Amino acid sequence: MVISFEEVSYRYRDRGMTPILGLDGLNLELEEGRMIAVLGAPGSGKSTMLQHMNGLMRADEGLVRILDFNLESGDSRKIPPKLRQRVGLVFQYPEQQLFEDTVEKDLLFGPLNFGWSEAEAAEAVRRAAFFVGLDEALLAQSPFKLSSGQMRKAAVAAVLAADPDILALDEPTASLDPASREDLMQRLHGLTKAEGKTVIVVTHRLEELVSYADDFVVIKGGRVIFQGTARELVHKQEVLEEAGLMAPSSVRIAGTLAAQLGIETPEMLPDAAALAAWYAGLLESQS
Amino acid sequence: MKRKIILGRYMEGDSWVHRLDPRAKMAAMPLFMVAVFMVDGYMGALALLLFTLAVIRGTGIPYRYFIRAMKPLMFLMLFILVFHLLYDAGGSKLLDAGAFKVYAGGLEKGIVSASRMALFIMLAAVLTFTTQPEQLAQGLGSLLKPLTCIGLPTDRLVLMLGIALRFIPTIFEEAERLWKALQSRGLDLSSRPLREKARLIIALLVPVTTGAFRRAIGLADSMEARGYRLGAPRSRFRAFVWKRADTLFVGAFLLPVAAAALL
Repeated sequence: MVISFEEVSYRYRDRGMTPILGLDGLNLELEEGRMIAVLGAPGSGKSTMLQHMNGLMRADEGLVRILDFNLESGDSRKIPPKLRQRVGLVFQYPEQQLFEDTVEKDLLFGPLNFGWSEAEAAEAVRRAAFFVGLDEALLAQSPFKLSSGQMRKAAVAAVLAADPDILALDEPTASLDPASREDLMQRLHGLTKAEGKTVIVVTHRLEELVSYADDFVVIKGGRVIFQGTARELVHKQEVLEEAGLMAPSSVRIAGTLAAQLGIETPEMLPDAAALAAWYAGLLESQS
Repeated sequence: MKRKIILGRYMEGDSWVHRLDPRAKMAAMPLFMVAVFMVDGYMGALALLLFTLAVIRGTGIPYRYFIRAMKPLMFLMLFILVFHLLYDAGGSKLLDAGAFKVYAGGLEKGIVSASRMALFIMLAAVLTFTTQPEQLAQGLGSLLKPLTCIGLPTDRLVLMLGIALRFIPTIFEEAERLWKALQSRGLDLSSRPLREKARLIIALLVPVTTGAFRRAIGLADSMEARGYRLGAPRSRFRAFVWKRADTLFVGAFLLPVAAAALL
């Protein structure tokens, strides 16, 4: 187990008179080396949970265990820099994360903070930029001149440069076109397979993760209401509805077809290829 | 960082103070200011304090929020008090410790001056805690309306004020998010030399400022696209209705002024 949340509660106290509940006795256990999708409606506590993972937010109650660090509630000791290095957080808005005058300096920021030598850091930056598919010519530019897609890649690279063991991304595909979205997911998936890193992706688009993530976690009202595989999740209509999610179109199409033909909805991988195979099989058996 | 700034924030609620016409609350402010400056003794300050506490009670917002609102100015209040203690030599001598002498008059003046400030912050907090920013701006607009005849562009000023009030919390939030992103990439200001600290803080302002400009341009375009023109006649979504409670509220603020004038 690489991440575990035990009865973790957090309340936002700085937004008016009554504290707003962020996490409400959340329990969660995540395995190492997997790609994990965290789904939920806005305000469900996804981002709050993410920020607990490297100590940006400290639990009011409960215990957060990450790698070999224990973050107990009420413990106000400083967060060890090592935790911040090993758990990389990519935030929602890339334009609110980059601040240096060149992309390269921005990418160097993390590694240098963690005390790497300049040569090591430069090498890490080059690798991270290559990994996310950021053109090396862009490194000398100001981050504010990048397109929103490039900015997104730069923000991911800036975190990846510090070589974290766990990479958590908050809505990483929001400003990307469909092709780059697919591309980024593939690359992130590669991180788990090739380097054994744990990748956590917060999103509200179930469809884009269906064929990549190993584990799906659905959060509502600061609690986990589902944890399992894509196959299990897409057929749990009540969970999807509760979290304000939509079943992938392939599952909906299969459901409609099955209803019309008067047969049972098939249990299948929720993607277009599986749907096509199932339908082809149906046609064949009919003729 | 935004956690600390509480004055100027709206606190949701449904007390009679919340429901008052914003114009009434704003009209009460200058009256209160007059009363605060007319007071020059313990008794007067105490009476005004009780009056303010009564109004605060009416808002239904816990006292501790008002105390927190005063915190950023605590140092200034303390300074005022100490200044009077050191340099005001009136009344009987209370303490004599060599070069340091405290007189009763100085003590009274110090305490009264410091409490003037505290009283005023508390009432300003009542206004901002119980009035939504856009209502505040709209109320100010209608109070300033008569000034249009001497050529003051009040609707422009009110629009600017309204938008500024609306975006201040957003910009704070943005700065906080940026700060968090940098912290999670290992930023640790305390271990850096001063020069580096200054450079980092200035660098932080860049994305926040560009973000604010981007937002402003977007907002202007979207307002224009929805038919907004400066100076064009507009109806109000929430028209103010002056009720009896509003008259009573403003009237109540005449009491301390009258009392201070007579005593």
